[in-house]
Amino acid sequence: MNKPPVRTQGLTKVFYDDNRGEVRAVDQVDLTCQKGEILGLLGANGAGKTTTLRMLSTVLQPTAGRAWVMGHEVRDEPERVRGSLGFYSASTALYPKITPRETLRFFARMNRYPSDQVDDRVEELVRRFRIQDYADTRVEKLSSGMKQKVSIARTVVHDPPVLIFDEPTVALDVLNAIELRQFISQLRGEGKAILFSTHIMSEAEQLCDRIAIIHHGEILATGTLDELRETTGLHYLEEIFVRYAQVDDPVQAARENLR
Amino acid sequence: MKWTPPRESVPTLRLTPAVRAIFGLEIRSLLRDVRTVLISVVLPVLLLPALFLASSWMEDQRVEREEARTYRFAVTGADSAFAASLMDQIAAESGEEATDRRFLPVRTDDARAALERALLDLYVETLTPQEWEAVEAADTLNLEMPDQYAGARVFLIRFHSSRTASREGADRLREHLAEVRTARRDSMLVAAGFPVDPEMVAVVEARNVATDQAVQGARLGRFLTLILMGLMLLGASAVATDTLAGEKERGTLTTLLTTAASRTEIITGKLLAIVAVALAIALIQILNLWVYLGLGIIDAGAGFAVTVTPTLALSLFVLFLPVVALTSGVLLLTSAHARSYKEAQLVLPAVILGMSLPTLAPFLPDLSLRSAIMLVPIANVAVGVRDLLIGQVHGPSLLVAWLVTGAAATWVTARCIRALHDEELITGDTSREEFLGGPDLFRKRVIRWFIVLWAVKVLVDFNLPVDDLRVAVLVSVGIVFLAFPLIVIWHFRLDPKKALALRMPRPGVWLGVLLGAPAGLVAANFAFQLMDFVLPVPTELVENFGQVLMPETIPVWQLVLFLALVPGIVEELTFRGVLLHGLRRRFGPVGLALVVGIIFGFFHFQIFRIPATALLGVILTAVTLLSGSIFPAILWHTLNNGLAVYLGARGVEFGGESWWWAVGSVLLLALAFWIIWRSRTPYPDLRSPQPDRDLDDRDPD
Amino acid sequence: MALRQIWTLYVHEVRSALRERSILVGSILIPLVMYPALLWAGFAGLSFVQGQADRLTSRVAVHGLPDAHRSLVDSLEANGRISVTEWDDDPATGRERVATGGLDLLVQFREASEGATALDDNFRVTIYYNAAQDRSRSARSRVESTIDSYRRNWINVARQDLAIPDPVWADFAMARDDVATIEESTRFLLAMIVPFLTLIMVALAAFYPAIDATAGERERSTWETLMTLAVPRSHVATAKYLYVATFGAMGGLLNLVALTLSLRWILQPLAGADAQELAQAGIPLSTLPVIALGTALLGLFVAAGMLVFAIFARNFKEGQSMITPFYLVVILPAIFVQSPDIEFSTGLALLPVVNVALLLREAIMGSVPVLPALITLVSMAACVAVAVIFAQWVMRNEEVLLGASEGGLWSFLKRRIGNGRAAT
Repeated sequence: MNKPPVRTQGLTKVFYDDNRGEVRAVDQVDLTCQKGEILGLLGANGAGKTTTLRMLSTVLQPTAGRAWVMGHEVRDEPERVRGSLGFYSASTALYPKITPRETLRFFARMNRYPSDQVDDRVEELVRRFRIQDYADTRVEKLSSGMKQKVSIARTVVHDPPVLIFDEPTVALDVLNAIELRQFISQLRGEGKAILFSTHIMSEAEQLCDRIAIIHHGEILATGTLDELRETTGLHYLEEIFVRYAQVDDPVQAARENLR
Repeated sequence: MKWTPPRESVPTLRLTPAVRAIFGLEIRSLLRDVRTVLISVVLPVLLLPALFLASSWMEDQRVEREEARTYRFAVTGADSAFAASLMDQIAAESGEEATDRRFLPVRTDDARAALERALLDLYVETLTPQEWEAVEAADTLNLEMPDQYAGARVFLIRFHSSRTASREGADRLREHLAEVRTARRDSMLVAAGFPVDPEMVAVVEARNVATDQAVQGARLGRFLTLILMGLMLLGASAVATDTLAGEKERGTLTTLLTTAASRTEIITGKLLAIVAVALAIALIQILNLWVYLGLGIIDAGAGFAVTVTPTLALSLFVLFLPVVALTSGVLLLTSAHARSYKEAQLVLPAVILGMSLPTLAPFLPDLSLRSAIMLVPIANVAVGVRDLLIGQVHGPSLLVAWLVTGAAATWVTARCIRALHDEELITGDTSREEFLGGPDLFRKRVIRWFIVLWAVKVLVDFNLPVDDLRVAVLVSVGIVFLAFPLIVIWHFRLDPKKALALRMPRPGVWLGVLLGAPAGLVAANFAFQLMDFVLPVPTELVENFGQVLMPETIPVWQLVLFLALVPGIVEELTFRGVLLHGLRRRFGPVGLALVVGIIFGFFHFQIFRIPATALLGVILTAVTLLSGSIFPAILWHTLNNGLAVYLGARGVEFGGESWWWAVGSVLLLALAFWIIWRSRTPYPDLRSPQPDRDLDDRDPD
Repeated sequence: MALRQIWTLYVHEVRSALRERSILVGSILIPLVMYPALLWAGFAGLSFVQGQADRLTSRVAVHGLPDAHRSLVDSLEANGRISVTEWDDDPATGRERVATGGLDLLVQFREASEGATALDDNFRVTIYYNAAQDRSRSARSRVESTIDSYRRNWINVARQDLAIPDPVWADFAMARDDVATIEESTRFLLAMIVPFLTLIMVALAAFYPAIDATAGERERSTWETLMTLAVPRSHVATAKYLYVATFGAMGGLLNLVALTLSLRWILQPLAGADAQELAQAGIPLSTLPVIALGTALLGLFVAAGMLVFAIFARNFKEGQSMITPFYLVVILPAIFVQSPDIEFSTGLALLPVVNVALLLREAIMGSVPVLPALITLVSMAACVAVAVIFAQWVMRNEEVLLGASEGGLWSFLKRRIGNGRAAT
């Protein structure tokens, strides 16, 4: 049986929201992501992308449903789950007082990378990401582009089979964003399973093998870009997204009124 | 928000690579934060000796001034010539020391006016016995004269207490005059034929049998824990607030939580770092002081002469370990519960105060470790340290103390780990309750509101004129405890019926209350006596309190009205009404009864009243929980107070120390509760014993 | 126009501050709640200690008691808190027991020394006690006072036998009368603590607002919004300055109010039976203007100082560590001012902060010396002016304004002065 590296089943998160009371931020989400595949989570702000990914990385506990990363269930084996994934988002900052080299060494140890290989691995990443020049300068003194490189290296330092990128390009300038996207494609080539959330249509079009459209916490459609085009008869992802989101809108509104 | 307990919530001390990595990170980050190091290490290193120097300089100045001070005096009245001769004698006889020639006579016509205008420091008014009687009769001075002096002439020393020279001069003069009088009497005795020098009669000499080491140890032991706690807090608080609260602020917490390290490892690593910093800074400061002492820059005060053997040092270190762990844990917990560095800083003063308070325990005279103090974390170790330094240790008590504080440290650490699972704390989202307000917010804020109510009550009580008990009760109980529930209901838009439990109970409950109230009174009285064994109360205090409460000028029916009916109604509205309502989903029924009871107890400020009133509070809460209504509690409370007042006013002693009364009252109480239990209508909307998992049930797996 | 702009900005600052929890707690709640809580803790602790002491029984062993003085044991036991046993063993083991804490006292009776034996049954007593044990020390004082009164009684009987009449023997009695009224005592006490507390509270209450007004703006990234407003930057600075000063002064005054409310309870032990008179005790109303002026001066000074340091902070933490040294320097003198002997001389009136504390002290005592008060006013005003001008000079720097300046005031000054030298 070929189990996909990432699988969720009926994943649900309920929390309280300032305006709306009890909110199902994520509602019965079923997803899979295969090796060497980039699964894009496409949705507007507040659609539930971040919450889903945070549940996958065990920062948040699911209210209901299950999720497995490399066969480990998020609630039963949270540490194994975290050990087999790398999580990158705009909010995963770096420690300001330590250097990039120390940062990488720290996170390799934290992720249980075999301790005798830590130094080799760190040097390898320093070369690969071309951060030699500032590998011993404190993070607080680096420019944002440099920080980004260190941050990505930090994400993959323990060579995880699964990678999660939560709106990674949101705070980056054009050149840095392109570089990041190139790197993500490269990781796909290495056989990683990659979850990638974004609200930028072109990014999803360009990068993702399959796209899951998420709106108000629910997955409205999943498929390759071509499959989505076929089902809707529309060409541009933006149109497809709007179609899905709007079709459901009256129902959604009605549901909200009932609450 | 629901929270399912994680399986990793019991802290275990394992030095995994992750723990070491976090420890290293924390220490490295601290050492590279120059400004923090400056403030928490360098500044105190300089400041501490500066403080010592300054205070010893101040003390020198004070002594110098005192030695140079002269007291200008005058003598007035019928016997002024005699008094003046005594004063001359004082100056002349003990003239060898300069300090005693400091009484300078001043001529004045109006001594009183001169004293008022600070031209004089004091004057002696000599009074004949008749004059003294007149003064006494006028009763302006509040002075009593011992019988043995009845009929003697009186030297009235008049001074002005808000001037140092005057106050001090009066004290000294009194001593000198007493000495002179003794000498005069001795010579009187000898002249009359007393066979020996009166000074040689029944001579008492005191000899200390304790070693110097023990005496110095006792002195040092008093404040050693306090100093250490201060130094630890000084160093560790900066690291602790920065570590979790700071990470939330900088966004590194998410990065950390998505690594493979477990929450336990993260907390362990951070805790170890705080412990290390706390110990290091305490050590640095001690060395620092030691160097200054060695160089003679600071005057070696008493208590520093203790020889510290390696065994003693090691024992002290082992004893202090749980204290360090607990202190670090509390700081870390504070940090974990704050959303930002700023929030953590804000509660820090309260934490520091709270942690320092138990270290004052060794200052209490006559406090032995073999008492209830054994069970108070930190305080017990502090007392144990004192005993150790004296050299008299009670092994089993010390072990219990060590274990208790250690257990507290473990518990706090477990709380820290739990806090890392609290999603609201991690993500820093504001909760729905805070946004919407209303009844749900009240559930969150109820404790906070009661803290403020407590402070208000203290202030009101302090500032009430005590003249009329009726007015006092009406304001401090009637108005405060009536207004509070009304304000709460209005502010949080509560439903008064629900918030105050205004429901009719089933009729059987009334019978239970009628039986239970007298039994409860006896039981509480007995609890008070039991408590007196553990926590003795000054008898004077209790008597004074009784006098204030039971003035004889007020008729009994009014006492019953003001001390039973008014509190019975309004206190119930506040405690078994809004407090119980607000807390109902936070604890199980037993926890509720205890918590509401104890809070109720703390509103009776006198420390000796707290246990008995807390017991009454627990009973009343239980009654309300069982009957679902506030009315039985009101009746019970009124009956309880009414009976106590009535019996007190009649001077009826009941209970005494007889065990029969205790057993009988407990049995009767049990019967009453059985009756109430039989006709119960439980308090609605309590927390269910199991956290509801309705959403999980729909798990499609 | 300028005043109106400043007023608008000021109101804006104050309003946001009043909605900020940390500031509400630090500047308003703590001064108000602190006294009741501390007082309660103090009284609870006191009655606990008193109860402990009341209950404690001293274990006293008596060795070699002469038969003629049996009644001495009775009077020891009459105390109720002394349990007496006869010690028949070797006194050395008894002393050992005292040393190890098994016994509180060993009272050993001896023959009277030579030259004192002429009196029948005269004796000497040696009390062996343990100075390391509190209970032994209190036992010692209990026993000593009992023996002393026994001795006096004995001599008194002898005196009667020798026919010395009562009035001659009594010689003279002593009584003391404190001519200070309750009000004066109260003032004296208040003068000791109020300046000290006011100073600390003003500094504490200005602390968070100072950080909020500078680092807070940067953390919320509203600083640049503020800088792009169509108002001169000096107006922004003035409004912020007034806001911090207001909160500082308010904290000080609230503290006074809270203190006055709790005063009766603090003073009760002092006043004893005259508790009723305490109702009038308190800070004399006539001195309120001076106190208000002093607090305002303190607020203005502390606010200016804190802002100069905090302006460089980019976040709360930095702000805190930049202000803390200044805070310490400001409140340190308060410790010395507590001493009642320091005179409010013209020399001290030149010293900022200390002079205000002394001025407050004198005002509470009921007399304000005119010359030192005027010097204080001038000296403080000069300090405030210097601080404000300095702050404006610092604010004119663009790097500081944009928050791009590295380090604190110190490194800024080094850079500025270094550059100045390089330029000339």
